[in-house]
Amino acid sequence: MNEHETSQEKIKQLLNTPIVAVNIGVKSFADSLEKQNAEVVHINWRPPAGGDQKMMDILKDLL
Amino acid sequence: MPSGFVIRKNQYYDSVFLMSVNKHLSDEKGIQQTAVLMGSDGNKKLLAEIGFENAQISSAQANDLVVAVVADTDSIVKDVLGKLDSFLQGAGEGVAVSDIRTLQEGLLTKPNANLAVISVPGEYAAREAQGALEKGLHVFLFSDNVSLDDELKLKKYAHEKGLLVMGPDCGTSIIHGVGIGFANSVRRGSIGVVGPSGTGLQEFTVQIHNAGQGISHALGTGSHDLSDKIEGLTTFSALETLEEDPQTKVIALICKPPGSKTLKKLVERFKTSTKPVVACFLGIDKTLEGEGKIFQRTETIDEAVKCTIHALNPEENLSRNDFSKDKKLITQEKLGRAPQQKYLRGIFAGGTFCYQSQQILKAAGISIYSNAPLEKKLQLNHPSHSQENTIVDMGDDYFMQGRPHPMINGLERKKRILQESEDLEMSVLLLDFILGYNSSMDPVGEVLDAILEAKEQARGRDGYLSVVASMCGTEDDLQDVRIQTQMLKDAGVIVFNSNAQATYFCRELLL
Repeated sequence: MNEHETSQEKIKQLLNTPIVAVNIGVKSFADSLEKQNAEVVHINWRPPAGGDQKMMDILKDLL
Repeated sequence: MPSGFVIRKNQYYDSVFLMSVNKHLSDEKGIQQTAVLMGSDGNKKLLAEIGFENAQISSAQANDLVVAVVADTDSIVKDVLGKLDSFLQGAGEGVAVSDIRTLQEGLLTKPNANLAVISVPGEYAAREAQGALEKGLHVFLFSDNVSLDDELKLKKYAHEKGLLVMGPDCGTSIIHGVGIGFANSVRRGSIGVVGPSGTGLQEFTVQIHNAGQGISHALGTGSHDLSDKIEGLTTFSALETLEEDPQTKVIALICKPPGSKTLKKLVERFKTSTKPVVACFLGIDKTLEGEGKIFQRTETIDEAVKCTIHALNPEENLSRNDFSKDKKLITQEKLGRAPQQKYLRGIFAGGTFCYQSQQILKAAGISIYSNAPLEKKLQLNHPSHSQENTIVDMGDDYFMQGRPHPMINGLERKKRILQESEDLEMSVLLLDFILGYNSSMDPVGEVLDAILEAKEQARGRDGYLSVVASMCGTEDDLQDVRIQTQMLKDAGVIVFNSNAQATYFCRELLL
């Protein structure tokens, strides 16, 4: 398999295997996936660093 | 006017949930204005604009809930803010709160996950998407307000890892028959479609379904993918994957004009396609190199549907119940107008519909003013005030500040229809209704009173108002498309199954 084929392989897999989703953000998007019998886990997301932009920038620099 | 606010530290909710709480609050008697927002910098600016500005609000953070109300009396303000917990509980009734806080934890629950669906506020979106890609997940990125630089970085990284980034600002995809974001319930089949516009993909997939055919996959790319900065990185990956997908027999692309460099690359790519390609370039009315031989070009979504079905099965003749040129109906609708009634007002939820309608009317020599105009000279002086013939995209940023998208909640559209109804010069009101997952469960019901009121007002002035609507939905959508359509018809609205048909009819009413 050449490099090009490998690069598309994962996308082809996405179209050929059932959706298993991680939902980050709006809860109703997870609900609509569940209604369609898709597997989904909803993340109870919150802004990182308590939503403090200065703290986020500091963390970004540290990581 | 009496007002007050409450700040709840470290109480974070997503935007759709907050809008639902906001609706409950604003429905209370005596309430004039409400804001239910997280304390991000953008939201604090918005609060200041409506008169809420003080040290406490300034110090609120992005994960602090801020609820502000303006009401007729102090006691109403106190009462409503005092009942906040019950509103929060009411809006979240039956919703189990997940104790999973991070992607890492989520992946422990679903180690076989293959897709991250991300809809966090724009300033955090690129970071979350990057994290998901690093974990080997494909990404559906609904969030907008991601910079083009960040989008390019994400897409290049995804490309290196062989992953797909649908977005940012991606409204719709259908993979394996599963609708992600705003999508309709459509039959599975052999037609694959790619496009940057959510409503464009919805209109195409719904019409394919309603014509008896089906969709293999519909892949949203995000609204900026075909810009020359991004060069269609997701579009090209999607086209290639559909070309190799055994279920897909014909590929369609639905988009506004791409960047000139990207358009050239697309046409080159079509040349090597092993499957028939139908490209709907809304807004391109010139012949492109190779068109007609290596690919079919169309200027409307309806034409793209026809060409795609024909490419799939040349025997099939798509017959449409087309009454957009029904002379009797047109004459009947024109009767009873007062002399001053001469202008169209389109109040739209779908951005692509706003664009397509302007194109169709422009081709007939009818200039349309808009907040999202085809030409700069047709820019409305103010988005809130129509001029002559006007079509407004109510999903535009201006109308969305702290408010729900008109596909989720029709309140702002209702207000605008009522505002237009006072204009003596309006002769035709054009509307779009979009059903499907995550859309309002009763989009017609939300604006029906305003439609009836607008018709009544015109009658009261010895005139007649034509109301024309397009309905984008299938019989399998959660909202009952037949009931939604019948409600409109009962109100005297002329309903079409497509935005293009509805616009053709309006064109006849204006000429």
